[in-house]
Amino acid sequence: MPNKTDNYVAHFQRIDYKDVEMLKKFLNPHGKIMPRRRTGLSAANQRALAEAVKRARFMALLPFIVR
Amino acid sequence: MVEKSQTAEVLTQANVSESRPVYEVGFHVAPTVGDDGVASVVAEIKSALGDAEIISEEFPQKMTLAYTIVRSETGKREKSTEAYFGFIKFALGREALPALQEALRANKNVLRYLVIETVREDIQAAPRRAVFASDRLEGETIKKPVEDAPVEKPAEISQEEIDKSLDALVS
Repeated sequence: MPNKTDNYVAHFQRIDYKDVEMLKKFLNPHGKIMPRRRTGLSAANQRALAEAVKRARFMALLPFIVR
Repeated sequence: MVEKSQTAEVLTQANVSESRPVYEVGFHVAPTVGDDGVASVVAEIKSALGDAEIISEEFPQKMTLAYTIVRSETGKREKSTEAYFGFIKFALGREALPALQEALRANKNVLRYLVIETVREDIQAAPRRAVFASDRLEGETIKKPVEDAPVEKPAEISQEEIDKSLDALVS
């Protein structure tokens, strides 16, 4: 059963690397991906999130690190 | 009979385009191109797509990059802090993908690109619910609306009672 936060993305196919504002909600102030225990995502969604963040970083839509 | 075979052919072609995998190319057009040159770069990318079925696209918009992209072209380091970002979603056979990648790599006006396999449906189409990422409550707690207390009707007072109380006050 998906938990509360999982409803936010509903399905991993909705996680898009171009949706930077959505991805930012799952990053800490340093620009690092939050752990699953903090994001509350399912395993599949967390993997999709990690991939989307890494794609966004490569395309310079998100920073690799925020000092 | 001829008509029938033609219909069958059209159906087969439709099936082929349906069965082809869907990709999306996101790209940054170099800022040196300028506002007027972006359209020609997009046209170059589309020509590299060949017979691909274009599902959706977004024309490149100028944006500030999250970090400075440095690339060395002709022995000179080029630094870019902004670029025109756009994307094209298309259906194309797997065998045609390396040629597309090579065309994008060879295009000097494309600062950076990313080809991903995706789905035909628009990913961002569905409305999303806002839910906080944290388990802690953030912002204001939503309170249960307080039910209106039953309004008590004032008991009816007879004319005699009013007169009595008035007399009491006067005397």
